[in-house]
Amino acid sequence: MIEILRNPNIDFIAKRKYGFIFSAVVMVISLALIFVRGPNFGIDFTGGALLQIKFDQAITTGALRNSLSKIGRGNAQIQSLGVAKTEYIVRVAGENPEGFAPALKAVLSEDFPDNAREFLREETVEPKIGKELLGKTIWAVIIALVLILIYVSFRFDYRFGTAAVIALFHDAIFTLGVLVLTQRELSIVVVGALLTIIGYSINDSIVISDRIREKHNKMRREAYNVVLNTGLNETLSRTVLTVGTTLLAVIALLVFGGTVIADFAFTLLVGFLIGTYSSIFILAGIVSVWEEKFPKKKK
Amino acid sequence: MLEVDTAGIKEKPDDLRDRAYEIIRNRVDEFGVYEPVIERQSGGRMLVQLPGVDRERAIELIKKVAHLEFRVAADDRMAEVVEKIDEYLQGGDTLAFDQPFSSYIITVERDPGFDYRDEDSIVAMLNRAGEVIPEGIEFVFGPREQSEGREVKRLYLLKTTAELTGEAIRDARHGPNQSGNLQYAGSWEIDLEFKREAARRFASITGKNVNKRLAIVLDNVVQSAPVVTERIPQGRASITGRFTAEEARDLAIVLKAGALPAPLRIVEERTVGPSLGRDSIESGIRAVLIAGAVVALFMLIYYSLSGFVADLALLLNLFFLLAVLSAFRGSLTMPGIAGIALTIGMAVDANVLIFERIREELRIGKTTRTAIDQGFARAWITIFDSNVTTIIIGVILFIFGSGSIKGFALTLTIGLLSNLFTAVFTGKVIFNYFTYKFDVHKLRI
Repeated sequence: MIEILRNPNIDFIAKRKYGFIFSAVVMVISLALIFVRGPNFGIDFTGGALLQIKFDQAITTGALRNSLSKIGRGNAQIQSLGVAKTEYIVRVAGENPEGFAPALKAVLSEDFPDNAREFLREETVEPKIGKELLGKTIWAVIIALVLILIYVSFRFDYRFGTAAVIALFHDAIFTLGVLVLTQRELSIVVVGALLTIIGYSINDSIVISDRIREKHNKMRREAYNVVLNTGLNETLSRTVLTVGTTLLAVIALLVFGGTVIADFAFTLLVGFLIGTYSSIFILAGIVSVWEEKFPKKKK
Repeated sequence: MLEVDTAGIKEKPDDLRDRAYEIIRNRVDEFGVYEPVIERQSGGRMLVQLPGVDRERAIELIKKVAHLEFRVAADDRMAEVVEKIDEYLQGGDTLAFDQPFSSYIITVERDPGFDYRDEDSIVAMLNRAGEVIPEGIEFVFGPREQSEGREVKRLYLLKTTAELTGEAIRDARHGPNQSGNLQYAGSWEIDLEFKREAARRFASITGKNVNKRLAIVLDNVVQSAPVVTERIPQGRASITGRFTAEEARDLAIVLKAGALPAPLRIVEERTVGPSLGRDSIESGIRAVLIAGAVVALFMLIYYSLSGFVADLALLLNLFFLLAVLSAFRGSLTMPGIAGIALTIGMAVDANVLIFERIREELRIGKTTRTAIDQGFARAWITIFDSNVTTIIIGVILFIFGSGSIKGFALTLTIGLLSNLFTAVFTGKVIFNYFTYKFDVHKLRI
């Protein structure tokens, strides 16, 4: 039998202070990044058009921008894929995305008549749809979080419910902060990844809360922090194993998945690590502080 | 993704959308696309996915309103109306146009017409002079065409009321031009067959209008206006024009499927070139397979034989998930794959929870069978709670989310529901079966 951890005995609760300080600092930085710099919203949310073009012969970004200026789209975002300088993604945000693709195609055949090209991907999204998608997704997440709060409060108690939801917000904001910092595009795919992280984080929180609940019933005479620590340590091997296997899978996605999956896998990688950290330090930490300040009457 | 533009139409929006949906479905079915997806979405939108179709052609096929009308021409009043317009526009109005209306009119193969570059002027003049154009007739243009080295449009004066509309059509087919009209030689035409009642009306219309022209107007453009030489009793007609075989075929499809009750607007459109599509599907599948294999191998090494049971349960879960998805005819998008990824993660987690629990029970000296029973029983509570909470997220996102977020929610919810069954129930059945059958005393876990 292979065992990664056998009877670990780490005093997590004593270290909660470091966890809180670290998280508080990261939260401030993340929120500053999100509100000051702003996420790099993809056309899924802003509306706009995207074209992925593969040229036969290499062309420079400058030449491409020159052509774009001719059709009044000099402000388009140009992203070069690979090192060969043959494949580009061109994005424009905002109103009237429909005309962009035909205009670009026309100007390209005028400017580069001898350089054959293939249009690998074409997307247009009306701004109205993008805004709607963003609004609806945010509302759905808020409603889901409220229901989770109710469910966890009902199954465990309101302290775990509140702490679990705080941990979720923590994970989502933290991950979003990393995305803004690395200037990854926030597309519908990345939002899918954020939702996955929320699901994963709540799963982690529940598993740990569940064990603490169980220990609480069996260790009535012990101090609450001892109960918390026991619960955390007993689930630690499971936590490490689950995170380990999921990260293995995510790394496989990152390495073999190609450009579209890469953003998704990167977000998951960051989020899973944060989710695991927060279930231990944030969730259990909040519950322990809560218990110290407002002890629950013991039966 | 399409939106029915209900602005300015009196009919109830819901009815409009239902009809638009039916018509789009008929058109796509007729077009013969392999595995199309046509879905109603919230807010009266419609999602249409057509694999392997040329982009421009698909858009034309879907967006074309295809409102067909047969209208009698009022050629005998052309001269009189043009004169009236000229008089009106010259008459003391300070904003008068430089040139009289009649000076713009040229001859296009015996028909009146105008240079394409003058279209805006023509439209402006007709708008201004609207009140002198007699009640019951109006000008309608033909399509853009080449004539004697320039681009022109023909100009028709038609009765405003349609004698017959596209609803009269029972069948429409495309075929090579048979009209014998040399100007359309080598082009294709659409042959129409009317419904029984409409065929009688067509016969009486043609009977009453011998020697007049009967214009065939499609989406307010006159396709052709042949002279009626005799009463046509057979209930057949054909639309001739400069159609290619492909255009004629697509037009026949939209005419047969019927006109859209309202224009459609494309609010979101995504096209993936065939090479990128193949590429991303291949690398996506490869990545998922590798990820799955890595996880399965890890479980096998770490939990030995028990890990094999976990792998079986995982496989069964994926099998259920894909089966239900194909029953829903859902298509897999990236967020959908994200849902599957989370399902796999939670399925593995369920097994890890169970196995770690069994190990703990064994460690405190319980017998194999008790440890298995206790392990499953204790882990079940945890797995139930964590899965139910995540299913809550899934259901809420499915109800309130839009677009591909729904795909994430759907795969996640189905995956977790089946996970509750496969990880816990199936796993336990396999464990029990083998421990009892082989009287196992030492569990390899």
